[in-house]
Amino acid sequence: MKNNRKNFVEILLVEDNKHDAELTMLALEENKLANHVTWLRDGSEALDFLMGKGEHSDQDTPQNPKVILLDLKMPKIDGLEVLRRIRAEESTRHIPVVVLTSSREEKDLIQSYKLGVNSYIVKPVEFDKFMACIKEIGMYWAVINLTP
Amino acid sequence: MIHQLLEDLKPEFSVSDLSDVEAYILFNDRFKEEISRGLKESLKNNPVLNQLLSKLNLSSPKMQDEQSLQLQKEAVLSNNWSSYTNHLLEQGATYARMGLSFSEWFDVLTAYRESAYPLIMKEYPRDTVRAIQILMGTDKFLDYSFKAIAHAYFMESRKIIEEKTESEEKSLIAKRTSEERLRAIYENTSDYIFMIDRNFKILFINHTAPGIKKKDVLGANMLDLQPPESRELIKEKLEQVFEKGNTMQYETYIHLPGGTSFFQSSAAPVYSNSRVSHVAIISRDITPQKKAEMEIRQLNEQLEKKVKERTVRLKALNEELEGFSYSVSHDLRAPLRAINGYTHILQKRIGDRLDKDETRYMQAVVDSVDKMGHLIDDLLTFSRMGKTRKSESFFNIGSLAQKVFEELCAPGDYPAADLLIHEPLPPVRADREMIRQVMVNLLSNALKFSSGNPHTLIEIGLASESESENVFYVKDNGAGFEMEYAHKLFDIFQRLHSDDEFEGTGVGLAIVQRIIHRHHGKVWGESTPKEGATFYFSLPKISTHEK
Repeated sequence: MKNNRKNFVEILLVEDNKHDAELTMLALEENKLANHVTWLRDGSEALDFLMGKGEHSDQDTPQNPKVILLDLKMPKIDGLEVLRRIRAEESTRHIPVVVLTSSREEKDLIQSYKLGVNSYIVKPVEFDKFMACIKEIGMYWAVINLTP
Repeated sequence: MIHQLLEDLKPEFSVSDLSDVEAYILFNDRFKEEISRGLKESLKNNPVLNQLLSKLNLSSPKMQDEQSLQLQKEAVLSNNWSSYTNHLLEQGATYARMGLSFSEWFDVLTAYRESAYPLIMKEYPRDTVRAIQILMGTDKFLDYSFKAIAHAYFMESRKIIEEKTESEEKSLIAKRTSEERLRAIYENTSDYIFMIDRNFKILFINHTAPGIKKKDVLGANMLDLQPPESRELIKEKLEQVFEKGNTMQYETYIHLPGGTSFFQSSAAPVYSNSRVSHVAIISRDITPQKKAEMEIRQLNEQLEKKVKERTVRLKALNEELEGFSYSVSHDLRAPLRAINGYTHILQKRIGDRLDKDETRYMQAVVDSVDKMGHLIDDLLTFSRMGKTRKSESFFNIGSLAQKVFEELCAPGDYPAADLLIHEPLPPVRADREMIRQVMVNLLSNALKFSSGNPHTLIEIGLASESESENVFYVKDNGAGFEMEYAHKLFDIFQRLHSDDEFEGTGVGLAIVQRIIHRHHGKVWGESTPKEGATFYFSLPKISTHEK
């Protein structure tokens, strides 16, 4: 499936705030990383996508993106729960997950690492910093990093 | 009195009588042994009399003993009867006291006659005159003796009866008096005193509670009056009183017309024929004490409930606050990022088409968003410093300050700033992360407010040392502040400079104060405007055994 350019997903963005999502996409575009980005609006959609259920049950084989950018505070199923289920499932446990959140709360940070997050990034309010941050994440995880 | 009595009992013997009696006395004296023997023989079959004689320690009736015979002789020969009469009176009184009946004494006289008469007849078979004289003398003498003895006997008996009656009366009076006292006690006491039999039936009660009739209680089973849940226990206790004779205590309550009354009861055995036949119970009304006790308990329970409610509310409030700060952290930042982001994109896309004012407006939006971002960050830090748990460790405040200073200067914002640490500084035991925040805030303040100077010098040192605490200081050579506003320094959102002079959120020193207070220390500032400011903070000293 990796050769099917149409369905090929390198970066899965799970974010309920459409502005954050758009800004993230813009940042990725600027760095020519936006060609294979899929944006999902909440945790349950993300799990359906990854596990090939619900709306995504017609997929032949579930897609494993190169990296998942995961927001924590989301309706229905929150980011921590998504992370827990990704790590619990054999087929998805090796996907790198980067938490991209507004929360500086220590308990979120600790809980994320307990659940096996690969990176924890607090979204900077300042635009320049935000742009730089997304660029670096995209470059590192989607281009430089290797996964099994 | 006794003389009069003796005078009254004096025998009225004429001269001839006296000679008859004298003849008898002489004969009796002569044949005393034979007569005694006959007397004994006659009385042999009278068991009552023999029993009495042995009690009196006599072998035969007193009339035949040596003393009596001697007194008889003297009385007749001198015709002076007082001694002998006295002797007879004593005998009569003795017989009365010993319980000898009159008929038994009569038996003695008869036996004497039966023993003496044949002897007389035998002694004077031919001298009939003489024999008759002795017989007559015997009768006269015995009549007299009998009269005197009977008199004393009756006198004594009457006296005994009188004495007995008197003592009976006395004891009766005594008994009545003590009964009256007891009655006064049990009728006037406020305690309830009642008696039950083996079937727990109430046989007696001193008085009853208002609204309860005595007749309804008497004969009732006292267990029926007890509350159902304690009936069995009270029954067991009362059975112990009956079986073992123990005294038992129990508490009970009864629903009375005037409300529920509580009683402290004490049950004691009442013996009859050395076994417990009844149980006496004294019940004291302890309702007022009980009520006070219950009120106290209720108050305590209410208080506990209130404390619990408050704790729950506080906990909820705390959670709410935590949720609130989480929400501030997350939700307030998101729109800021959007404003900031889109403004920047706009600037990029149409920036070259905007005039000078429009560019400034755009920049104002970006700056305000920046400031809002800092404000949120500071507020979150402020809230976090109040609630996170302290984890204390030992560290050197100087090297911590040095590190923080380097971090702050790293972006190259303060090229002309130096930090001078006056070593040695005593080690502190505190939450390192929190004290780091204190240093960040104090040093960034110092750098900020000195930024107008060509050269910034910040000094850190130990201001003073007491037994209980160390006072550190952070001194700068910056703008300083006016001391009259010093009290406002640590209030949240309070600023002593305008944003045009120095930017800031007014939260930094509030955070410092919160952290130092959490370490049981104090913080204050001193300054002379344009000469710089010194901030002091104290931390409790590490006691030697902790070092």
